[in-house]
Amino acid sequence: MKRILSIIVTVLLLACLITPALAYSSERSAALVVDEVHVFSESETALLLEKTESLSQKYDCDIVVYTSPNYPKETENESLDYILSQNNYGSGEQNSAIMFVYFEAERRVALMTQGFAEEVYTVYGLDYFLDDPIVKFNEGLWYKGFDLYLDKLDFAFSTILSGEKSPGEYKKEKTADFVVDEAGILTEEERIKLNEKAEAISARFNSDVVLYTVQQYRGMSVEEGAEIIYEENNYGAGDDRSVIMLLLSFAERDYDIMARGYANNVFTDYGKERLSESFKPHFKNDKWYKGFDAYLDRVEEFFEYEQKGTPVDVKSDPYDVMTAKDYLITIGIALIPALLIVLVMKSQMKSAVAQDMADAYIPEKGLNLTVKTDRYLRKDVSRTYSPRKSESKGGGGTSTNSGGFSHSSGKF
Amino acid sequence: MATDVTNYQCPACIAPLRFSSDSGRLECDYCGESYTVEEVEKFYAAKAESAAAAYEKKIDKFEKKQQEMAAEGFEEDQNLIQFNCPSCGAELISDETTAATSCPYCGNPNIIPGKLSGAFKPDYVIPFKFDKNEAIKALKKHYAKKPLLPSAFSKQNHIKEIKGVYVPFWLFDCDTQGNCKYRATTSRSWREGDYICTETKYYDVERGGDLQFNNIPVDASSKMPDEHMESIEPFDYDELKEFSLAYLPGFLADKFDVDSEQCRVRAFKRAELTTEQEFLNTISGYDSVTKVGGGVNVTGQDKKYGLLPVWMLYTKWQNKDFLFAMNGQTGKLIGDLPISWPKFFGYFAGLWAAFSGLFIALRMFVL
Repeated sequence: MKRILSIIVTVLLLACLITPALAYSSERSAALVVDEVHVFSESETALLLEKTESLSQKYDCDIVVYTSPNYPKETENESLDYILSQNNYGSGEQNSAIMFVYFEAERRVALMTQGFAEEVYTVYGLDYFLDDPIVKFNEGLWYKGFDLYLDKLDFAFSTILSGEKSPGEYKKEKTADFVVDEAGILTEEERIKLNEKAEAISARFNSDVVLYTVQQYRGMSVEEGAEIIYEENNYGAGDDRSVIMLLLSFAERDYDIMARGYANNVFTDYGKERLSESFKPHFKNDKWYKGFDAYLDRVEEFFEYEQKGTPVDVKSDPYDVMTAKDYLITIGIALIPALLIVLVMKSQMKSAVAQDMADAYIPEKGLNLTVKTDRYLRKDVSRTYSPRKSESKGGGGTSTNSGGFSHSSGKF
Repeated sequence: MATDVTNYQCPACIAPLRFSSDSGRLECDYCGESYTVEEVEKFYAAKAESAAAAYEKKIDKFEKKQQEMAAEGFEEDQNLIQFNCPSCGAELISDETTAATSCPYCGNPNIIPGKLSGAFKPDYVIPFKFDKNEAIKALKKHYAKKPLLPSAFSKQNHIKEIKGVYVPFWLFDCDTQGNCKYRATTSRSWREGDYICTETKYYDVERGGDLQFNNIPVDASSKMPDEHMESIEPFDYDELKEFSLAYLPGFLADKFDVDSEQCRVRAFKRAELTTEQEFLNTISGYDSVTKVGGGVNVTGQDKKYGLLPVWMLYTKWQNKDFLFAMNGQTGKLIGDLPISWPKFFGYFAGLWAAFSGLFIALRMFVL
């Protein structure tokens, strides 16, 4: 009898231990990441799933990412209720859940909360969670957008649970140095020196100063690569995540100078072109360290000019001094009108020339035109690539894209 | 005794008469009398005819003699002919084409009417309107405002020779008929983002028609450089006169030695090119026009033979010959001038320095 009782007690104890885990997994009838629209790759889905499950366990709240081809019910609210109830989302005593849904046909994103998640939502507001991801979605970066949302959610939950009743500003910590040399063109000693210098300038002006080299950035354009590096490594200082980044891609010898936030005021479109002159002569001779060092000096000077109230721009350019090359080019151009004038003077010395025309001997009635036809045949249209650099130079200022980034790129 | 050379003498004092470009009359430099061309023609018609007949006889004799000399193995320059000055009797030699000249001994004008009679008689003449002094003035003006002219050329240079010449010209009338085809294009460009788009439209264009030309002049003297003669065009044909020997005293005159058929080729070529240009002038509104076919046909047999007035000025500098020609009717003067290469490079360097300074200043202070 004792043996039977001990078995029953053991089973009951085991059942008590297992039940919460079973309850957690058995109540939900769908995964935390459901991608009916297929905006994620398989690996991206796996990464998001891992992250949502981890966060759901951490905060005892189902954190759901859901894409749907359209509203399954008539209205958005009904559809959200349907998805939540149909899949039995909700966890913990309060049956907490926060669900981020994308409806493809309606081009809508929606956030739904219940239980403890509602408190987080109330403190931080909808904009906090949706604004930045939407920017990514508009650029087609679905994974990046949802990943950013999850990071923000993580930050919001942790601040609320730590007892803060007002929203903190989400800010990821940098995951890389200021100087990253994936292309391997610097010695470690050089890289450290440059890193220290970049870090000092970053701290002084509260704007990250980043030097980054790659062999080739995943087949993307150098501008796209720079933005991804910025996001992946969580660069950016201050509330506006200010950065000035120089990216070198060695496969095509492309460079990109990218600015964001406060740095956009410091490095105008014209200013970025000027800035590139600091490293180009060195890079042309493969003097990488010298080029980066000169670049950092120039970056620091740009910040100083901005803080004095005159950022480097078309109409306030302290670097607009003529170089020996400028003098040579100007003198070379001056050769053309001088040569033309003396050739005209020379042609005046010869006046005995055979006359091929005889129009002086045409009677007054002139030409009797009997045939006059003009017939349209066809048309061709050609397109030549010609970026609008001169326009931004002419007007000054900084042109930014929808993500708030400004770029100036070229070959080194 | 009949002579092959004549001159026109003043009926009042028997001094030689000279055609004056100012008054358009024949003037006597000694007694100051002057006569119209018609009056002189009337006085001297018989004398000119007699001189022409004598010239014919002389030519016959001359040719016979040449044949005899050739048979004996002697060679003589067939282009030279001997005659006597009717004023001083000096024995003179001239080339075969010279029809009017002056005696180097007494300076009096001589005319060989036989050179300008029969088949060689010109239909028309345009009398000189500018005299020698005006030709010299025009040459000085030609030197002015020529920064590359060597200073020594205008300062030290003296005109070696200046002569008023009635140059023989063939004047051709012709008609052109043509039909030309062209490929024409228009293009426009605009910007689309980072691309410049260029639209080019293609057209077939055709022009046809006819055109008439009157009196295209072609120099019929092999002694005269063709570029000079074409460059002093045009002459004003409203002042064409029936030919008379009375216009010649005081000037040189040549008979033609290039026949009309040779000259016609040049006249027709000019008519063809001009017609094509006239067609082109009717095409507008395109950015480019290229001829792709068709052509111009020139026809016409009418021609006239005229003597047109030209001042020829000759000078030599640093062992190089410089020849200038002035239209004796309109005063248009042309002729190539020497170039001072130190001045050429001096101006070039100066202008280069000036433009360099200007561009550098613009670059530093304006742009």
